[in-house]
Amino acid sequence: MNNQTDIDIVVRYLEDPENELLKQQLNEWIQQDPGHLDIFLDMKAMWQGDPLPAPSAFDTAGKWEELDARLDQAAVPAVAAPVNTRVIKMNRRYWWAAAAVLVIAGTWTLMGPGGYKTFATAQTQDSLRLPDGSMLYLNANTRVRYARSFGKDNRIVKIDQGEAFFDVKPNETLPFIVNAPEVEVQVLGTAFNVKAANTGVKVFVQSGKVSAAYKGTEKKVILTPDMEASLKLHGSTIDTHVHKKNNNILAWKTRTLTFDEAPLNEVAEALEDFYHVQVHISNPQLADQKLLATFPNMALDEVLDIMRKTLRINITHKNDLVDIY
Amino acid sequence: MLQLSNDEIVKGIRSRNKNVFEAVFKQFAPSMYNIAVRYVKNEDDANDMVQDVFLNLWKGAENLDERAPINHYLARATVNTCLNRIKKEQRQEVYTREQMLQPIPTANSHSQLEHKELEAQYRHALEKLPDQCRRVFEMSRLKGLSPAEIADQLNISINTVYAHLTTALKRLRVDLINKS
Repeated sequence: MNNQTDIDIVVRYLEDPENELLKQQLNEWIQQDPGHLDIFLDMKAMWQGDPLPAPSAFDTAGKWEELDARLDQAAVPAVAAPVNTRVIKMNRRYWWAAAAVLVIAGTWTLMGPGGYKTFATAQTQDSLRLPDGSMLYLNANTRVRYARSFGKDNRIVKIDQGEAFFDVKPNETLPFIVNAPEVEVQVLGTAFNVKAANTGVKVFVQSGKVSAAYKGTEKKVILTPDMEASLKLHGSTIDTHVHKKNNNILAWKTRTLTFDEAPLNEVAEALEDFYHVQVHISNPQLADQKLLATFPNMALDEVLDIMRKTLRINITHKNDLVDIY
Repeated sequence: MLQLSNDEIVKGIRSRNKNVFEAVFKQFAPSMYNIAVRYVKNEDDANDMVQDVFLNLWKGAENLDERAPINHYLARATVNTCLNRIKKEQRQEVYTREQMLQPIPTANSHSQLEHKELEAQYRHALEKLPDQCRRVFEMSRLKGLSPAEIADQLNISINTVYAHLTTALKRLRVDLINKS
């Protein structure tokens, strides 16, 4: 980084217009180049929420069409509902459901072959549209299946292994059900999200209502936004926990990790999950350190570098091992 | 234009409501383009940068801070994109040098006739400005004085200079767009 004043002075000045030093830096910057004054004037008007009219060289309608098309193609981390439907049919009561389920492989018997369609991912993520119009997003190493009659007399998706995220089309006559080992998740309303670890299944609700239950029992919990339920394998109790707004449960889809004063051990856990590495904190005194940061789609080494600098800690990264000390 | 509160805008963006995106784009993209093109001095790059800012907003929509005004977010994002673009170009130094040598393409993308017409329109639009406003604008554009110098000479505050320049740009752009 050099110390030369650059375009960011404009925003720094607008954030703090009484600051004499910034004023002076701004004036100097404006004199560096004839274009700088225009930059400042446009930015200032924009900052005040009253932007200047379009310069004649900008084709607003044409550029919007271009963007519009690109938005449709953009691989959107599907936390929100698919856009078009949501925009157009906003006032109809749509029940969006979104579920991410991560389970261990194996343990669970299927209804028998032939009647099922199976989808699996290896190293990459993928998505597919179910026959009823619901969208299904698969994390890496995930296998799901559904009956050929899906959408006609049932809406049941089974997850053999991995993690998945659902955008569910509402249909009051056919409830949407996610079958995980020992646990059944059912959509009651709007949007929810399910997660399970290798000790069991975890269900996390983003918005709306969702029920999670041990199969074949009366044990059941109804979850509302920001709530997460943990259902242990071979267990019978359901623990619930309310998460704060900034959590990393959907990071695998959004590709963004967010830490809001998160303790280092929580950060370590999130990094392990997200980057598939082992993180070890060898200096126990560091566990109290808190991190405030957002890492949008960044490589692990970049993230570690930022952590080193902001927390003034030592980190080494070799193969799949990260050591913090 | 859609009149939405910042709350509605942020909610709309977070749920990837395209109508809201469109309204925000149409309101702010022209200014963002103008900022970018003056900075990188290349129309194609500037257009790309505007698209990038909105694409990134779309991709990370649910992470948008609900407390901050969307125009502040866009102003910051534009600045950051500019800085990133310049850093990238510094890595590709040869390319940069060529870019910087190019005059702003608007200057030569019109034929001479068009240029003359445009200049006539520009003068006409200029004449319609209030006196003080025109004076400030001319001191800035024709004499190349800095806002601080203009403030000094006319014995007005620098913020008044900025206000005059903003008004001038606003009216000139409206006039020129309506005619072209």
